[in-house]
Amino acid sequence: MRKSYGTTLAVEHIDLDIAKGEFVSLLGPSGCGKSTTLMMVAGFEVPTAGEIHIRDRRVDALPPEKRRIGMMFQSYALFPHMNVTANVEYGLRMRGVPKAERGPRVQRALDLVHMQGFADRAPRQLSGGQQQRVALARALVTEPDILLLDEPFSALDRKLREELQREVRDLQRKLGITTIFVTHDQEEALLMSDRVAVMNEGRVEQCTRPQNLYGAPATSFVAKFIGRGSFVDGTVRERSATQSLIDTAIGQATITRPQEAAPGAQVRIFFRPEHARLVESTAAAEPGLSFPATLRSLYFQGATTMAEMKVEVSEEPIVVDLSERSQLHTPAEGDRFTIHVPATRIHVFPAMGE
Amino acid sequence: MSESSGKSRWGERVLNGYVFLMTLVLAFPLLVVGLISFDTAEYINFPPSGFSLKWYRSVVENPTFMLSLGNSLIVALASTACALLIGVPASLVIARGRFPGRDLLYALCLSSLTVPWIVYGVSLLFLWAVLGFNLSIMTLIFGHTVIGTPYVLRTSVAVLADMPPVYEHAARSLGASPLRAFWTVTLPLMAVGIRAGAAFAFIVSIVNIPISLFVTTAENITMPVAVFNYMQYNFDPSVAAFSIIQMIIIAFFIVFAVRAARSGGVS
Amino acid sequence: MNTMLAAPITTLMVIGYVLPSLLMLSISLGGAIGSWPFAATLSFGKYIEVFSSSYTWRVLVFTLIVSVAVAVVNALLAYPMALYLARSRSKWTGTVFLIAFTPLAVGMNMMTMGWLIMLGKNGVINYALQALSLTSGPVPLVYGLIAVVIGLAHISFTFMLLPIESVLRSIDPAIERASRSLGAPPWRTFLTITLPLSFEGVAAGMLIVFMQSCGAFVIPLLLGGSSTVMLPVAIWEQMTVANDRAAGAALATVLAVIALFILAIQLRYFNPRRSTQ
Repeated sequence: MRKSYGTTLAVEHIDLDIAKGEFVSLLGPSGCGKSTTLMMVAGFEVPTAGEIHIRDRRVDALPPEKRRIGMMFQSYALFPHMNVTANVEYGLRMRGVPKAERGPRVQRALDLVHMQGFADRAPRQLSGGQQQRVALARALVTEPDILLLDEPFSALDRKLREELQREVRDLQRKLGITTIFVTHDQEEALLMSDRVAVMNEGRVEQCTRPQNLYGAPATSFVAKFIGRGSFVDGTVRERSATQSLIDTAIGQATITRPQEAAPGAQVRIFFRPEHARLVESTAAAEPGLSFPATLRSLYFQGATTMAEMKVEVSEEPIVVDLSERSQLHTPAEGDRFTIHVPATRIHVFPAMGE
Repeated sequence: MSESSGKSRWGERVLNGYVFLMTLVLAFPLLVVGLISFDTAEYINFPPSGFSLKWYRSVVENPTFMLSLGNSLIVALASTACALLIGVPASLVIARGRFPGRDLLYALCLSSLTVPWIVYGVSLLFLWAVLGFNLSIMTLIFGHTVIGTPYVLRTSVAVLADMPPVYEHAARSLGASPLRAFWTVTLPLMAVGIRAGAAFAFIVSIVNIPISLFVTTAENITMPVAVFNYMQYNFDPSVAAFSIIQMIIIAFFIVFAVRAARSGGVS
Repeated sequence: MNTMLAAPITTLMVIGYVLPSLLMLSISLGGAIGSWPFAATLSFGKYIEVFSSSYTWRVLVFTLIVSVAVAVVNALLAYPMALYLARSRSKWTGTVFLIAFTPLAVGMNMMTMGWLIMLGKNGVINYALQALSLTSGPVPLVYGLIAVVIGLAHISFTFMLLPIESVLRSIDPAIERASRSLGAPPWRTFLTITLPLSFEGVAAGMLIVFMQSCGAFVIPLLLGGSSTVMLPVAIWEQMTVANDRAAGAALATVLAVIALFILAIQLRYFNPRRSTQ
């Protein structure tokens, strides 16, 4: 399957191939164009230019009802004037499936989502989670070529959301149905997807496996959007095949990750909180970046403890993960430390990117 | 604490008493009409001097009244049907569509609700005179459609404005064509608004005097105009009897409209 | 969405509303019936003629004063009932609503009839007064100002009740609780918080009731007399009794202008979606 769009206001350029049976998330802040993209795949928005193919069938000129899609919505969108059975049966009725065949198929779809006991209920008699299960059954019963999920879990409370995320994921694997999932919740996207496409201002910044997205962000936007971390401005001093040296206001950084900026270029370096270590002395033997900082505030978050560190030359705090620092004395606000980031853990992005 | 709640309980009692009294005042003029319609006296007099159905008989035997009853039903049903056929589709494009002049059109329709009926009566009379049309039951139906349609439009648009387009999207994603999505999802969900609009359109037609007065002829006279004409020169309990008959017809229609919409699946 | 769906309503409103209004204006300005609008030489002659008559002025001023009075009376009468309907959890609220709605559904003949029976010489109130020996003979109540104001107040009562009720219902109860928590007793909370917040509904209701009264025809004609002629009655007299269509058109245009003026105020100051007609 392949789709690409030309220039619209909402979506500038998207070129995405999704393999059969793959679960791909479109992740981004509101207004990034992810919903518009989904609406174009569904057929409710018309792309200004470009093509959309589903299973080698070009669909961009087809109305939504001819695209063989299944869709779940944030507000569930169960038809309030039909009971659960009628809702699930609706798609079969519209596609002209004979009556005798419909009953068993509805039954099987409700079994899949564990809602077999609720066939005669009206949507308003169901909880949010139950409604979304019925909506899933309704989307799957027609055996669509592709399943489109438009933030289907964001209206649910945390526990229920996690439960349904797991169920939808398991069911998607079991049925092998190609799925596009739109969300602004990064945790949800990382948890569920085979691949995540991070979108910003109508473009895909990066589309890759969740682990890569976190470990090897392609742009500073992705680095900032996924997880946490700190940016420091700098200038490239030297670059060789194996390492680069970058001058920053807090010291010189040695970087062993491959990077493309030539000497003299303005860049931003980036590292994750868990890769910044507190060391007692400034004598750092390992290559990387070392700089003194003062602990400004501590944030205990259960499994982790984050510290905001103040460096002298900048107002921007550096975030450090203190979770594994129990061997040290318990740090207090106002303590001075040296922070060290290993050379393999520093990412470099062009300064223009932000 | 106890003092303040005691005071507020007193305030509540005074309010309840007032509402009870006011409800009586609002209901009483209608109740006495019912009472007087069964009177035996030849003129209106309180308290009634006896019980009889003679005024109902006189209504049934009055050819003008019976003619007007039939006319009113035809005009009210026809103009309500026209108002629904014109107003409901228009509500879809006004609530969901994007076209130049949409807001202007909607404002024009709603503004017509403020204009007094007598102004319509006068201006529609001029319209038919200028166009050279004879007054007939058609001009009557047209006039009532003009005032009834904005009610249907307003109630339908109000329902659509509260109804997210996601239901229609869901129907389309499940394979329904635009027409079938409208028929199976949008229309049933609009039933509340359509029902209210139909009731309004029916009522403004069947009670209308100022418009009907101007665009009607003797053979197309409507029920309220017949009663109105009669009341200008006569004052006896037959008017009361006829008013009660009219009220029953209106109540019947409204209950019927509610039932029909309920059986359509929307409560 | 097919824009053609708006074509029928556009046609209807143009032929049934815009065009007749223009014709009415044209005829009031001296256009001949049977000609297209504004074909004849236009003149304000009819307006000058109509407004030179002290009768017209009397009718106009009387219409405006009575309509204001009805709006004020209704605001005072409807407010407590709206408060009850917005706050009470009683099972009787449905019945109260139904009875408040009846004037809209039963038609003017029945309303007229009801108040004739209530206020007439041999009517309910005179019967009660005499039975209680408060008066020796019947008191003249009908065919005058009192009957017209009562009748108009009744037919427009719902239009006052609904806007006030909806505004009162929309007031967040936490605001009143906040006032109580700051030490205000219930009556002060009502006077300083609830009442000012609900003025929008009262004003919206008063505008609608005012317009309903200005445009009322049957009530002033049948419950009133020659001393209580209101604008719609005067229009009807010009059209039928005097058979002066141009004068009727001029007066109807004046009434339409009043209506559009009220509409402009509504649109300017109130959420048009909330106004209930």
